[in-house]
Amino acid sequence: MTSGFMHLPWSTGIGYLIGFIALILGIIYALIKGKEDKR
Amino acid sequence: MSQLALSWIFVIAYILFMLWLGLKGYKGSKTLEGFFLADRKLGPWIVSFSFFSTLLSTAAFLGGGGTGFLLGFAWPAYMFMFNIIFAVVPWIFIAPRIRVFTEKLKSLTIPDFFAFRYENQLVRVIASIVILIALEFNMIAAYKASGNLLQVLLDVPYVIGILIFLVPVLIYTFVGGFKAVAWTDFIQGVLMLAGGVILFLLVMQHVGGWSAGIAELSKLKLMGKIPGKVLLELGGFGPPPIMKAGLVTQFTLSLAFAICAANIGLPHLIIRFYAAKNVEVIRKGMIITPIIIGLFVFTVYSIGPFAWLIIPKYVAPEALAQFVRDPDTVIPFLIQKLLPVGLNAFLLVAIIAAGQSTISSIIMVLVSALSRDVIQVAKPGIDEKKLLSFTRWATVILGFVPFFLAIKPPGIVSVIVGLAFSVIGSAFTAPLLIGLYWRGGTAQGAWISMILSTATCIWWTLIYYQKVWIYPIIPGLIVGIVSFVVISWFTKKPSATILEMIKAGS
Repeated sequence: MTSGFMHLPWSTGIGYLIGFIALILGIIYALIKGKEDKR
Repeated sequence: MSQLALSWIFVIAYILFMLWLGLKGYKGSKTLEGFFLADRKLGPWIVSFSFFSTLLSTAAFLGGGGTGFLLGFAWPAYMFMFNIIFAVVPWIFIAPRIRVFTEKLKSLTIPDFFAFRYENQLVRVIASIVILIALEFNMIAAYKASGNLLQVLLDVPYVIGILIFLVPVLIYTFVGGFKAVAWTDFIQGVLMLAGGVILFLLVMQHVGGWSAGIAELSKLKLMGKIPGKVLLELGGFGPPPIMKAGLVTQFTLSLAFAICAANIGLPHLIIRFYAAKNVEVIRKGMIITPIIIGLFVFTVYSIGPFAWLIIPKYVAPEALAQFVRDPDTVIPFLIQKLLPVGLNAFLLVAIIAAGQSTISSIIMVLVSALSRDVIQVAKPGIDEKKLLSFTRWATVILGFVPFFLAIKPPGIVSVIVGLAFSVIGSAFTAPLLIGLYWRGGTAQGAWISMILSTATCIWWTLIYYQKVWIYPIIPGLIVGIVSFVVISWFTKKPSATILEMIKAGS
């Protein structure tokens, strides 16, 4: 078993990690913009 | 019931359903705006699934899933990262503005938008020529993949396989226009997502779960000699000539980046934003689309490396080299071996759906460029009904051109398809994305950057690609962006109306 992200070494695990972070940030941005639009 | 009979039943039922959706779309396709954009009335789920299923084709299912067998986890990990990033970017930075812009300007196509934004017909003509040539060639790959797949799974000749794939698409696009394309895209997207997740879960069940599978892989000897740990590291494993040159890392990262970065400029993706009912649809799509793209890419693309734990159970070690040479065969092999009869017929339909959703969307962009941006420009007074009738028949003609090229594809076909994809992905990014925000973007900057990025992709493919293994879209994008900015800087700015519109954000 390798330490890193999702049991993968950092050189590959970082790809999955940044993907998840981008997904969450994208969702937060859309929610904030959606609320602004409604106002 | 035999597997073959069940596969036929699933395929026929699926095709009939798609044709029924096509007929349902007819009512809303009696005007040009209806035929090209479904009267701009699509909701968030339809637009999002349509974006997803258009983006990810048969190549994503077979090639995307199989390439991890060759490049290890670096492939799914970085494809996941870039797919999410380049799904989020167009939805945040292009969708809201282009929807409002094009509705105000009554623009129906991407070249049409360029003509209004840059107040220049030459930009429109050059954009249309790039679309018509590059997308026609781009379709050959999907026809070839579907012909090969159906030849094996339905036991029909290769050409018949392509026709089973193509003819329903042409019928529902001809009859129902964009509304039919969007609705079939939605159903096809649901099938793709369900198929991908089911296959991933079965693979996980087979290898004992994600962490147990990775632990097993790190103990494995690939083909009896290479330590399985190489599959876990970036740049650890790859095609033999690239491994020898020590360039696997840059090959993997540049390929993943190139495939995903193209999302920003692909006209058959961007046109979905035109058809959204309102800005609220765009906001919801911003959330839905990256989630479904991420789910599909994570599940399907991550299957490849785990296949090293499954395929050796069924084939001799010396036969594994065949899967390394042609990773597109990995997913069909797993479907055949792991899935029970019935479920594998469902997966076959999901893969056909992946290809059809992309092809129908490309055909729509092609016919709209031909009718709106070539015919209507050459004959401005042409009757709308006449033009609409021409458009429907153009669907059939433009859909069949790549068919003839795919019947006996030349050996160089994969190079041409890669080049066409690079051209279409790099030529429009700067005039579209930067042009939506930067008031300094000019017509000369737009059309010259399109020509220069196209020329760069051709030059790079012919001279450099097989020396440095960096995909041509990357130099194409760089040249396109730099030339657009530099030339715009020194040329005449657009009129006050356009400048005001950009300043106001719509």
